[in-house]
Amino acid sequence: MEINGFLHPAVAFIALAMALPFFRGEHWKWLLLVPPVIAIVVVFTATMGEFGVIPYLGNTLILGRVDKLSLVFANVFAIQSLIGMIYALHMKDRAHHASAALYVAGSFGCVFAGDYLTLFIFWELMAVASTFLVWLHRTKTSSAAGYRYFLFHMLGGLFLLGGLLLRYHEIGTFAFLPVDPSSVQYYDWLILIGFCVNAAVVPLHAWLPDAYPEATIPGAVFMCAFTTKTAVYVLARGFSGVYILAVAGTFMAVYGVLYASMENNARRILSYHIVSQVGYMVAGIGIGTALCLNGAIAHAYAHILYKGFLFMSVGTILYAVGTADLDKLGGLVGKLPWLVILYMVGAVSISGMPFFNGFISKTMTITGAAESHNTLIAVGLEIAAVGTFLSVGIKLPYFAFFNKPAKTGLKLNPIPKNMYVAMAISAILCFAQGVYPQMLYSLLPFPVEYTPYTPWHLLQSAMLLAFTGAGFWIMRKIIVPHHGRNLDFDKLYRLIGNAGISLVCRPIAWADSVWTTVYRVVGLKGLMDFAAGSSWFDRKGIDTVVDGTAYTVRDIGRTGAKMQTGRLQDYLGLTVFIALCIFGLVWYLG
Amino acid sequence: MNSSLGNWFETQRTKNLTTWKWAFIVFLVVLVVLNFFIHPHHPEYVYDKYTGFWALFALVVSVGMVFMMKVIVQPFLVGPEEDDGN
Repeated sequence: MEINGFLHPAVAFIALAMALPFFRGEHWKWLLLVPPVIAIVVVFTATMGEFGVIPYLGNTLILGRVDKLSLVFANVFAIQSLIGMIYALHMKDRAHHASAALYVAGSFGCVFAGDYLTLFIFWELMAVASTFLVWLHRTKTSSAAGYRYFLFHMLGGLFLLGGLLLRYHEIGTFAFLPVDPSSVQYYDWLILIGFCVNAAVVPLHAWLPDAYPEATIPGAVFMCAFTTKTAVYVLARGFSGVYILAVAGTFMAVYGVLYASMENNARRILSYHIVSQVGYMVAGIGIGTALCLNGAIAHAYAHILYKGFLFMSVGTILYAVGTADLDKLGGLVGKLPWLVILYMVGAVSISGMPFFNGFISKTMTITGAAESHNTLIAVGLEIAAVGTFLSVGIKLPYFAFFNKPAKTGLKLNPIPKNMYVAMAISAILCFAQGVYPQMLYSLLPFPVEYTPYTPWHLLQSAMLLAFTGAGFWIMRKIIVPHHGRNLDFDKLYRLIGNAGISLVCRPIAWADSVWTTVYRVVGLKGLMDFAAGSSWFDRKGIDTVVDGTAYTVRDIGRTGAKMQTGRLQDYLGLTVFIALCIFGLVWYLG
Repeated sequence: MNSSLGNWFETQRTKNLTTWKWAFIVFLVVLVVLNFFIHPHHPEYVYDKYTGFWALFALVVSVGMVFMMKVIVQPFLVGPEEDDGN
């Protein structure tokens, strides 16, 4: 479907999801690549403007707002959707592919939405479709985690819905426009909370490290790319310069790496690093200068590529070995050397090593923060950079690949070639953007006045990374991962939930108890007395009348029957007797 | 090819580990020496004009982070995995 010259990429993905149940044979899997290819063609050829404008309730819904900001996100979404589909090609579960397609469609719908109502519809589509990517892992823990994920996103969606409806009530429009940071209204705060849920802003983040490690292997690859980055897009679109986001983002950046440093599950380590990396973006948006916004958006682009890549690499370990717990891994470098090389490309990309894409985006945000005199924020982001390399760049590969010999008799599940192909594409893109930053910078919404490759930037990054390595070496016996789940805010949510239930249940139980007593003392006795009265009335009143009538009718009937002897002389005698009685009565009365 | 590359990595991991350690130490020293000659044109923070600031920063932060989280914090936070006992 073409809307005024713009083919919305979501249409292709929705069409794929609807057609999947009807595909037959074995070659249908190649059709999975068609929507991403269409999306790539669309984003590289789209012209700026507003498309798919629909009048509704005196407002206009805009399905396709195409500008530089939406295009840069759509660009990386299209590329990552192709990589994700290639990675998932070996899967035969059509429900999984349909969920992934709808999820990607939702993210494209959000990015191109020009109004809050359209945004909300696609926002919820993403929430529902991504829940299935968790549930379709079909384990007990994934079912529970998916349910919690769904509840939390519904809560976030309700905040968004409440905010957009109140906003409509106040100003009469659904238009999705930037708020003035100096006069954020109450409905804007509600919308912001809804966005912050999807952006995993601490303390609304716990759904992410709870659900992503439980998703299917390709499902996590999709999820790490779209949910939080769609939220980053809407924050950049609507809330740039709202300073509380700068503080929240820095807190996220540090919080994520702190938790990752003690985690054991490789996919949960990467999940905490999503919180941390999205923190950079949220902080950049909160500061709101052109350099910081460019940095945040560039980092979102780079992050989608390398984080998807890292989830693919760790997912491949899970696929081959059967576990992603670091305490159960080790020595895989001899068994899976190419996977190690590919993983390390992703690891150094996220760590901001020169010549990889994290370097050209992360340093831009930090420099932007420092240049705008947000020194504490910049220092916080530098601490997060150290923590990122510590966990993802060193700890994870060290304990998964290097620290000890592989278990004897370890049998690896053969890795499908498509998984390697997808990872290789990501590796090439991470490196290409790193050595040729203009490839990314040309897509950014503001002119880029930043040069990443200066001798000082290179030396500073090298010192940060190398001495983090030294720190790891000093602490290598202490940082050993241990089996177990670290408490996070999800436990607090459950406590709050249980407290809420108690708060509701206890008064209701008390009222129920009082009512039971009242009912027993007053109501039940009254009922018993009423029943006794009814019984008496039944016996003395109803029964007397009804039974009396019945007995009378019966006696009359019996008498009548006795009188009907069938003999003519009896009837004549009776007739004479009745006639004499009537005559005597008439004579007497007359 | 997969096997030969894997064997090469295994060799580096076991037999050549000392060589890699020394190479790493030399690399650290070279970086600090370079910092005597390369400085930021406009220091973004107060202290990054001093040689070795970022080296010390990374070392202290990484060691401190591990100590704080693994030694102090984690004993209070860790519990069983959700799928334990399944």
